Amino acid sequence: MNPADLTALQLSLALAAATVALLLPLALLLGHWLATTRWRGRALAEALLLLPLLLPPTVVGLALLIGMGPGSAIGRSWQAITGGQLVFSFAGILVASVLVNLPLMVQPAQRAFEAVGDDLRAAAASCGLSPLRAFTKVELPLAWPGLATGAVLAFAHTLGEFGVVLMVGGAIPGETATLSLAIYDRVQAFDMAGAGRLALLLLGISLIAITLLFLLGRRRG
Amino acid sequence: MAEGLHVSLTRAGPLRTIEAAFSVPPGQTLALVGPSGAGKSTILKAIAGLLPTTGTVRVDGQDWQTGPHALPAWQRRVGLVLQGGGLFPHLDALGNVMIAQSTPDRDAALALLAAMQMDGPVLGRRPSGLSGGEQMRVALARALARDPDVLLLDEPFAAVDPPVRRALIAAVANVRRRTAAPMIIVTHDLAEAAGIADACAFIDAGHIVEQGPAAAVLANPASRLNQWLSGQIVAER
Repeated sequence: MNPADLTALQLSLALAAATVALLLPLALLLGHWLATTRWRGRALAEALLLLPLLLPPTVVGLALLIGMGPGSAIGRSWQAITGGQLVFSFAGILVASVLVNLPLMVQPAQRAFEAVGDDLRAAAASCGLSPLRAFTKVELPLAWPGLATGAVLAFAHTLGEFGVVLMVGGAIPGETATLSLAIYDRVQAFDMAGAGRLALLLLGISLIAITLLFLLGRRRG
Repeated sequence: MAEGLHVSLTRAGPLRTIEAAFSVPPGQTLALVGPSGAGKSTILKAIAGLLPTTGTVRVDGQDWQTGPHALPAWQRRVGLVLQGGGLFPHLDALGNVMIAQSTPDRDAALALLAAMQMDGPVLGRRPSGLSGGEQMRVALARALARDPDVLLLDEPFAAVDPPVRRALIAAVANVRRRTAAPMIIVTHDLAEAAGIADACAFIDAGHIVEQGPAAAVLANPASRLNQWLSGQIVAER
């Protein structure tokens, strides 16, 4: 593996890990809220949440490119604070990755919190547990396998993400050129052996992640 | 000063409005009797603060529902036993009791479980490893663990076989002896009500149709529901 490949691998792993780390608290809050709210607009919120998963990556990428670009309020604010651009940076592809993977982590979390059920929430309240203690002592221990499932899915999906990362990141080596973009570059340069090597590496990591997920499910069962 | 429980509640639901007014003196047990879907469990949950309801739930002179002493569900000192027990599946029997203690006290939890005939290795088992009767005993011990002001038991004997049921009725009698908290037990079984309760309230389609001392209302059924449940009226409902 040459240094460029290693950099791409490190970047992919860093992006996947950071995506999961940022998504975990979001998935906890959103998943719990969606599982317990009686708000009438819940179906709309769920539909909006699924949207990034269903739209073509190029459409999501374009929306983010415009929404986070130098002409946008978010892009200008980012530039004022950091001095750099949000698009075509690691932070930019991280924001994109978090948005794209949001449904992958929130959905399993929501299902896991729904499975806790109203009866156990009632039991927790009648045991004198405050909402926060009920969450940490009862809901979280029961729902964590769902959260772990979402985390593994988001991690593996981020490793393979292509379209959005390319649109928002522009494949800058060492900054936004992830492993899946490096494979594309190799193919463009007719280096099929190199592309194949990287593809196998990506396949291996994803396989390990998914196997872990099934082992987790079996232990739980 | 212990004044017992005074309830006057109205809950407008999508299908029907539930209205109930009754009192339970300290140390006494009221059986809420009625067919499935009459609103019995809803009344228990409303007392526990688990459902939005209007009216008053006065416990020893303090209204938990509105005013300066209004309390959210988790601050109401209620011992609630749900249908099926409602035990936490990730905790063992002892853990299920200790989680309800305001300050964890292993010995006190063990004593409560022992009073419900639960001791030995079974205390280290999670609910999935306990029989229906054992789960209910743990749920009864848990309901007492908080030193409750009110005890609410929702069909505690519904899902067990007759021998287990008899043993559980003895366990509930034991609960009754250990606390002076007013107790409400939901049932649709008149024999069960007769064996446990000091008073009965018959509830049908969300309204109390008859109430009074258990011996009197069971001996002389006045409402059609009571007559139907006691077999004086043989008709489809």
